Amino acid sequence: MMQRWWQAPGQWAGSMIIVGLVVLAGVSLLPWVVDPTVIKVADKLLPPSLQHGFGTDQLGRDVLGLVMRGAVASLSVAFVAVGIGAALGVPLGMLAAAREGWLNQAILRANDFIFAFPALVIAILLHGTIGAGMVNAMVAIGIFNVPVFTRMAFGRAQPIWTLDFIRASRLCGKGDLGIAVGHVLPLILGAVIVQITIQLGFAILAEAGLSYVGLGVTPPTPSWGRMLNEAQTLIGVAPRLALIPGAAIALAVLGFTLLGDALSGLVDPRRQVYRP
Amino acid sequence: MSLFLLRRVIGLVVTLAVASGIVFALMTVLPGDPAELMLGTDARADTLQALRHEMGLDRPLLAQYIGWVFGMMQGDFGVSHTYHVPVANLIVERLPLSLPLAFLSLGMALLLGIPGGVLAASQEGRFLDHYIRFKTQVLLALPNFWLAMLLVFVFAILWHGLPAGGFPGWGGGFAAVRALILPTVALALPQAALLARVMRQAVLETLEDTYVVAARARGLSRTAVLIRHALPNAFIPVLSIIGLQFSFLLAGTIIIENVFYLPGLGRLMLQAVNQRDLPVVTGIAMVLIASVITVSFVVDGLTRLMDPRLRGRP
Repeated sequence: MMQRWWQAPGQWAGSMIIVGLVVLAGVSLLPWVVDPTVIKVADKLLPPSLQHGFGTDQLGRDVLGLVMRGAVASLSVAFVAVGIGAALGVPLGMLAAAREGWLNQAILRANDFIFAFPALVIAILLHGTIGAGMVNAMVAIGIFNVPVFTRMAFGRAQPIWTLDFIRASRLCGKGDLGIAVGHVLPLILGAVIVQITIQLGFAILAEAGLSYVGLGVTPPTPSWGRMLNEAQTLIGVAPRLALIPGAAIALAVLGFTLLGDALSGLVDPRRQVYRP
Repeated sequence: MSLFLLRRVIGLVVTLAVASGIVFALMTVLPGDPAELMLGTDARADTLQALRHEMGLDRPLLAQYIGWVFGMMQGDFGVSHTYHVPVANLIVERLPLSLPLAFLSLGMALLLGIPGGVLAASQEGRFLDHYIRFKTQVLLALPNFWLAMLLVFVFAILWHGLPAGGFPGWGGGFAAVRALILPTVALALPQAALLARVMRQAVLETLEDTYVVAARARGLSRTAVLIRHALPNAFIPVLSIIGLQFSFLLAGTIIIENVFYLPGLGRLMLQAVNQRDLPVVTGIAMVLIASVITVSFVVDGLTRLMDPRLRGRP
């Protein structure tokens, strides 16, 4: 009872934040909304007003518009990167779980190896070949996400292969692939969705970091990380320029992690175990 | 045990070889000729050829790779294009800042995270537990460079107590320590939050084990069980997380050094990336990669030492 009461607000807050974020990002792309990338130096560093909800930045751009449009870059990088991670990682993890011996060992070893590299280091190494930009961020964060999903899928799928009903369906003549897709995947899907939700939050954080150091989204595309970079020297003059995009990042990440936590409570039967 | 050690050392060498191979491959597929990059596009063909020969660029790729690896083993990382000094010298110059920063923040993260996690676990379901979980959740959502900017705003701009950036060098004594306070805190807080969450989970999981129930049934108090039985076992998963955190800490220093204009490895690396100074980028990348791999090797060994159940296995 107690746990339910504490879990519910997280779930609601998480979903509300994410829905709000997607709506704001969508609105900012509508053709009749003012383009936030237009530079108007005469209007620089205006305080918040009715016309500019969050004021303007050092180049006279509308900060509210920039933050809303920044959500587009953040969300698209996060979704593509986590998509890459899940699309490669889950099949690899399931393969490692289905097979014993060298293939299993090779996948898990390679996995541990890649896992040792933070997205930032991958992005720096890829920078020479791909160059800065959204694609670099997507690929770097995507590569980083592959071992996360491999590990998770392996951990969940391996015990399932020893269950009786798997042997039964093998006796019925079902092949390994059929069992993996028909029986194992549905059982681990819930956990995969939870992991995707949580990784989306981390991917937003990673994208912000990459854009902040100039390896991610490039100008003129608005991005929260780059807004923070530009705001840094102005923090004494206009602290709101640094506060607003940072709060947007934190809120977005919090939204995904809260939702992931709440979902894992629904998916994970261990959570319902009574603890002495 | 010695067989295990041998296998692990072989694994370590293979991993390092694969890592260096990947970095080398990424370096060679780059468009553009390093010799041309050094001399500029208007260089004469014979000068270009001579430099190419001097740099060994006309040799087969495998020979180049082996030469590069053996060079690094002897401390030769090549020469920086922009600074025209050996990369090894640049790295050695910057280490006295980056290493203390990384270890200070790891220490602070441990000091805050582990007691925080144990406290939350011991108070499970009560106010303090929810409070710590909420705090750590929020801290984990903050980008560390934004946290750093907020710290600068509060402690350097509103209250002129601490420097906003820069580093006077260790000769500066107290001023040097003061310059590292905010960067250390900005790096350590999110790591401490992660550690606290992992520690809490690990303690709760060991508290579920049958031997804990048995100890409780024998009449031991909750606190006694927590300290004598649950904690030593909970440390095992936490230790492997600490190993992983080290690599994130290194990535964190790269960004944080840029926020505070600290002349460390990370700042050097990002400057080199922007100036396309390849030997510096690959040199630092190899140092980072090698240290991450070595740390995970050591942590693996420590886990074995701490967990008697693993000792007999190969």
